[in-house]
Amino acid sequence: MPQTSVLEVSGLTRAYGRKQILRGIDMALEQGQLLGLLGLNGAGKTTTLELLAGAVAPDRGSISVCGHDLQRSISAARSLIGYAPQIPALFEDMCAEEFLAFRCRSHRLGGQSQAAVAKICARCGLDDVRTRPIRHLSIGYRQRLNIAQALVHSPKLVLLDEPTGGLDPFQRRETCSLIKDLARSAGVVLSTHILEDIREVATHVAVLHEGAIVYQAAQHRTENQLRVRLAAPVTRLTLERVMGVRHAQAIEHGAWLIELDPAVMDIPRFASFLTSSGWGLQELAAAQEPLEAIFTDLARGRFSP
Amino acid sequence: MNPSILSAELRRLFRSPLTWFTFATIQLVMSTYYLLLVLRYLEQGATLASHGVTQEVLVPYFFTANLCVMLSAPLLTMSSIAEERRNGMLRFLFSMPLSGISLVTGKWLAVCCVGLGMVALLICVPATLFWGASVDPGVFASNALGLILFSALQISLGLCASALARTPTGAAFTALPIAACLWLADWAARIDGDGSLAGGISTLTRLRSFLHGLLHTADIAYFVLFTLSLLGIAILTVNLERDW
Repeated sequence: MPQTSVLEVSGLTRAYGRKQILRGIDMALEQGQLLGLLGLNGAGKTTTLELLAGAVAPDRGSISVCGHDLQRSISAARSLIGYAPQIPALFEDMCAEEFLAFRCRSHRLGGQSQAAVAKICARCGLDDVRTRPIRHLSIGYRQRLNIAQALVHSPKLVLLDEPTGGLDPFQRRETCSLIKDLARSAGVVLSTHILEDIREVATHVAVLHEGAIVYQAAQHRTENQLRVRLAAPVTRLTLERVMGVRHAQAIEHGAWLIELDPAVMDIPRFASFLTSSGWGLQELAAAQEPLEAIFTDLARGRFSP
Repeated sequence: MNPSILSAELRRLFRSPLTWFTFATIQLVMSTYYLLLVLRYLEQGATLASHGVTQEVLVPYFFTANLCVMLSAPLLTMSSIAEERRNGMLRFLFSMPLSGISLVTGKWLAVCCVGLGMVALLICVPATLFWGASVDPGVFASNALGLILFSALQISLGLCASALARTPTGAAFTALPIAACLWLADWAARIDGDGSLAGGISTLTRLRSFLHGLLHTADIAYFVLFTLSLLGIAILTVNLERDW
């Protein structure tokens, strides 16, 4: 299936007063991709999502949603976006159903509103509380309603700002499964500081630090990756010629990140191969997930891009 | 215009106890005042069929009704934008496919619907004079029109203050002194004479012709243009905050 570009962001900057919040963000997202935006508190995740939602204007840079410039075609671009803010913005005096109908009217769904509300209530597990006033809803239901209002008009780009905040583990699992399901028909940007959520749902990851993206990659599983230190000066090609080695990457002097093909080579067999190879095996360990390593460095304040 | 904001704002207003409290208080005050005016008129030995009833009952009633609208409009409008700014709803509304114009006009129309409901009830009270009393229908109509135009202006002023202020209380305390100054500028106009600047901007000076049953195009234009200008400022403020 050909991939459709949903979001293209280039050189996004934003300051509040003298404080520079974002410093040149670039990102791209295609339909079916789920970008996990990770960062510590104050990294600029919420501001990034507010900018992408069109709630706040950037100082510089451009945002294009399905080919519509957010600055030039305000209405067309915004109607393709579903945004669930970190703190749910809900009309407290309405019931859940009325609020979703309001969102349908603001997107001019007309006659399809009732069907859209019924569908999204069923999808987000809101059927039991449809007619309950929002001010009487629990945090979990408010969070579900927050997600439901972002999806009610079937947007092409979904922006979720910490959607699992305040949820119990069961609700969190349900929400993650809903988010995964979403990415089939839309591009999703999920902002969070919970690594487990990203691991579970994201196809791509971007790490935001002090207003800049310091790491951006597709998410790979790391079960078949090894960190190897060899005394002998071997080349990447030599390592990749070994049967069962899918990929080799030099990470520092003498140290390599090796990815094995589990169908051909398992870790114990590869370890015995290395000891008998004469390359002077000094270290062999399971590779640390790059995301976790970066995040740990960020948290300890010793990250350098 | 997108009707979603209008219906959401109407829902908020009709579910707010403050709206009903304002409605009830104004009706109670004005009905009592009306009754007192009629009783005082009858105590003077006149009958309702005599001609003085328009000047003795109708005009003072509408004068006070305008004053009541001036005092109550900030209560209806103060939360419209300021409260949504405070709870983060305004920023969320900015992410919707709604322009600043449809956002502000939707809210203005909703408060106008509620305000017009209140004004309609206020007009109904002296309309009872038509049963048996000799009321000048021209004066009645011009007073009713004056009250409607004045209410629309006060609602615009309140909405503008709500767009400018950070909190609903701040909005009310911004709108009320401005409305009072515009009303009291009539005193300065009386000292300086009719052609003074104070007379030009005073809402009360402009209302006087309506109170006396006269319709001046300049006075109607004053209310319409002032209302539109205040709405324009509110839209500009919202658009500046949205800064797209």
